[in-house]
Amino acid sequence: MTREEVYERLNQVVREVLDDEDIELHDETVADDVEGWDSFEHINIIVAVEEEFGFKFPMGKTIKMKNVGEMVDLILESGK
Amino acid sequence: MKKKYLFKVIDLSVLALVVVLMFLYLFRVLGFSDNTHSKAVFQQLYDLPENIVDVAWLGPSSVQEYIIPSQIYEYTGITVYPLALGSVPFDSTELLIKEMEKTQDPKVYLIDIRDLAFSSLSDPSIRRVTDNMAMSENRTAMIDQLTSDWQEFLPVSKFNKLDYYFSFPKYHSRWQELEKADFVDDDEVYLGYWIGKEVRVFDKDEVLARMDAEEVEIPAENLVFLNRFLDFCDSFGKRVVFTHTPHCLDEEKFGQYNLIMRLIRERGYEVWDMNESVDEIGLDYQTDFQGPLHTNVWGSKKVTDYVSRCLVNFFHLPNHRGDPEYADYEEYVTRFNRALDEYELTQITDFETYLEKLVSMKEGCNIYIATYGIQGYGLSNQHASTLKQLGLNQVDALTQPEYRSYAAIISDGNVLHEKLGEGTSDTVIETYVDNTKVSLSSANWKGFYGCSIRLGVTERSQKENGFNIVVTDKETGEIIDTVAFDTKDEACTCIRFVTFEN
Amino acid sequence: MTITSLNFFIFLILCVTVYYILPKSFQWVELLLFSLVFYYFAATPLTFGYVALSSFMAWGVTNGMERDRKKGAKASDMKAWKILMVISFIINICLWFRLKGRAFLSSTLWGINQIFPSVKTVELPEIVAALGMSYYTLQIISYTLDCYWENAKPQKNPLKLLLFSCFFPQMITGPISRYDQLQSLYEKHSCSYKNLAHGVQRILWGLFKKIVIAEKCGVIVDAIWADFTLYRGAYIWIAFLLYPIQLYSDFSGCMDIVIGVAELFDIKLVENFKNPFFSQTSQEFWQRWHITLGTWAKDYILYPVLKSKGLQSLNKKLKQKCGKKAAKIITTALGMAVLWFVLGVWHGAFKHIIGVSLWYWIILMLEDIFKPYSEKINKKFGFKTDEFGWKFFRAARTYLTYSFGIVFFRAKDVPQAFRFLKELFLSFTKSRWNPWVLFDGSILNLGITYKELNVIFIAILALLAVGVLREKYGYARNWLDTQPVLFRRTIYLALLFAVVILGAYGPGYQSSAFIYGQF
Repeated sequence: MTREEVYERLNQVVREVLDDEDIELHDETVADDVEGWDSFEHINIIVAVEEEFGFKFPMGKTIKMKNVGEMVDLILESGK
Repeated sequence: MKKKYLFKVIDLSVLALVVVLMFLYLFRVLGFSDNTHSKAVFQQLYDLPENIVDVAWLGPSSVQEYIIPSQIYEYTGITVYPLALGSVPFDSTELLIKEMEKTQDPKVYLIDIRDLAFSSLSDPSIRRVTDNMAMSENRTAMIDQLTSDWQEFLPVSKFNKLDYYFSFPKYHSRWQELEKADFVDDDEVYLGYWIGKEVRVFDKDEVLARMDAEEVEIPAENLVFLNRFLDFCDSFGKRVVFTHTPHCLDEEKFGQYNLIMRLIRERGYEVWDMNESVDEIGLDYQTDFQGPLHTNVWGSKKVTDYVSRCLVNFFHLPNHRGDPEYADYEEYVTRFNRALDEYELTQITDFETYLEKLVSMKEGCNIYIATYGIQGYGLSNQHASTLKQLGLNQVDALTQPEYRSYAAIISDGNVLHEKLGEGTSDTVIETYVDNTKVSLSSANWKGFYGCSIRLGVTERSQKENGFNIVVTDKETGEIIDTVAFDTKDEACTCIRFVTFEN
Repeated sequence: MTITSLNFFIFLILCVTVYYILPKSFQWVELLLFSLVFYYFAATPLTFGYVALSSFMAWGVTNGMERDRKKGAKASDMKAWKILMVISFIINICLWFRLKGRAFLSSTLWGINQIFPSVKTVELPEIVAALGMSYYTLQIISYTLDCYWENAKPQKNPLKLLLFSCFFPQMITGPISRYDQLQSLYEKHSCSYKNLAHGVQRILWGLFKKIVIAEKCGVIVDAIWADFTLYRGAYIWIAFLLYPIQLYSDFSGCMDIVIGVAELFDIKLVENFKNPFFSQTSQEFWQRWHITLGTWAKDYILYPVLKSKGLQSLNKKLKQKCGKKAAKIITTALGMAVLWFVLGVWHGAFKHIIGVSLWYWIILMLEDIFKPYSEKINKKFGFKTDEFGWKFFRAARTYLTYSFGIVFFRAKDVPQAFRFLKELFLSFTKSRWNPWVLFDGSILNLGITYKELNVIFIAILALLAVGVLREKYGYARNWLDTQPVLFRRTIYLALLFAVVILGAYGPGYQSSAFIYGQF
């Protein structure tokens, strides 16, 4: 899976969770940049991403992700 | 690189120095303060040249508020220094003598026994001594002595000796009550003495009858302190005489003093009991006491007068007047007499006496006069001639029973302005005296605004009928007195309704 | 020895001197020794055993886990370590409950007793707790979990870990640091003028807040709380509005001192406050007030709860039944309930369950629910939401919300809190209406002088100024650093003399403990 493919699916997931079709994510995007991405939505997004890509983020990583780029790295690492 | 480092070091050193100096000033300002001028007692002692004091007198306010050293010096040329503080605990005497001996070499020590009948060891009375002494080994010794005696005999639960060594934490919150005496040297004290102004009436016979009271026990700790001190005197080497200044305390106290005097005499020391000599002193029990414990300035003058004569007779001490080394005492003579004059002026209610006093102290004063209404019925020729001694020449017209306006300014004995109103017209003087704008106005009977003496922007006169007089100190501008004498009639009623705080 | 006492400052000067004189490789050892000495004088020495126990348990569990992980151990072995980890948590929590939460237990029993009178209330005998137990316990738990989740490498040296647990500036009121935030404890530090100057400046500012503002406000607030049958009407409102400022000055002042002290040793501690009273919403408030507790609770309670299987499956079911929005609200509410309950319990008394947990749980849920609606209303009526006035209104509202909640913090129990609130609402009735007391000098009967009131007022203005500078420049100090050196020094000297002259210290003052030092 390429990075672009990940972003395509990731954007879709996030748009659905946050109910906003205009969201575009990039490597440097952080939660504060996105309208509605607060502490609670963060968990919902995490869970939705886990469902979409079929793997589980380690609990520790959930709280440590700095930006979307890191999340994408973790997705690619999981190899699915 | 080294230059930068050096610069930094110098920079920080300067900063540190500035901060230290600021703190030292802060400690000085936010320090001990009380209404018995204890700070000045030590300060004025330290400021004296060395070895000029002939007689040191220790005790509580029974010395401080009684003895006027400048007066003694004026009459006899003998230098007395009363190292005396209100309620000073008796057990401090020995170390106070040591403090005195640091810079002075008195030939005689007078020790008043007043405090021995009172239990005076307490935080404020200890601090009067320890907070005002100069930093020294003696001060540390004094703190140790007083606090250990205090805790031994009258222990308190919350006690920390460190607070006495370094008392700033106690006084830092005094920022809310700072006053003039915190910033500049106390100018209301004259070699320890300050002018007492209250008056309380006592029955002389009743008080003197208590002198025969039977002996009464004194507080146990004072017995210990007395014996300790007498032991010290045995080996001291200088002449020590105990004193008992006159008072109006109750019978129990007289009994206690009888006991104390006997104990001292039994040890071979003299006690100079002035209560026995009140007639010779000339004390008037109607006017000369502030309360049972203290004489006021009138009583103190008489006691000082008596003491001066006794000092000459008993102790054969030299007369230093005219000796330039004793210039400090000479200066206090002038200062005290001036202060006394100024106080006396404010107590005079008779117009003629007032004018005579003004004549005697016109140097160094600014005198402002403004009249209102008819002066003539009360203003006599005698008054007019005394006024002329002030340099006022147009006052004759005022002795006539007619309405004339009049205003005058006399500065340092010289008449700057004198204006007599023409006919029924009003008089106004607006000018500058010592860089202050002054405006005087005097109205004839038609003018309903009366008269006015305005210094700067503030009204200072009594705004009454007759002669309104305002007297100020020329150098400081402080109001010495503001009074009005209603010369509309012969009584020349004295009016001082309004008082002004400087 | 409290950290505002002379003894502490002498201790500090000695420590800093030793720290920079001795070789750098010993610095962490010195810090540990200083912490032990501090503990000896500031607390009951033997209670250090609890700190050591927690620390060594964590060391054992994390290092054991790591060793087995490296060896490639079986899942069952790892599960054993997980169980041991949970046991260590339970021990920590039980200890905390027995020592610190004793009041909580008995007041909770009292609360239950009010509803079910058959439940007996029990008073457990008091055992002296360790200093800062509520803080270091959370810190140790976060370290353990971080190692378990492989966010951090376990500390091999048990003494170094002990230092992490008991670093003395943190023992009074926190902050609750993460393990990776305190790595500088083990590094080498050189003495720099900047660190020393900054540290001293920070301490001064903290002292100013504590002994000038907090103490003086405390006089007023305490007097009114002591008897609010006597002090009614306007007085109640004074206490109501002034207490948050007192609490803020006390707590954040302590933080400033603590952070300044650490800075002297060139250790950077994380901030615990960021202008909380500028917050626009209560949610923002808890991101600015007691920040480290909030982030700890979010990372170690909220996220695990929200991500748990139970809540996720509930979410799915609710999505199907009630729709996405309702599902989100309900699951969030549940997660928050757990979070706030834990926070309330942490504060150690039943009244905090009401005033902190329940109150803020309701407020935050309401904020969340009404957010989309209020945005629509604002748009429709064209309110100027970007203007200062609007922001001021929101900040005031947040402030009042907080004042309301901490009535329970200040009261000694729930009934007293309710009595206070009753007085608050009744203050507009005829019998209590007394606005004239604000003008006729009655306030001076509370034990404060008119000059001290002026000092409080000016000090609050100074707080505001520093707050504004902080919002703009990150730290007021950053702005000051850009100013001419003479101006800068004048400001700091003024601060120094303000503390020395106006501070509440010396004989005659009872140096009151830090309010948050009870945890």
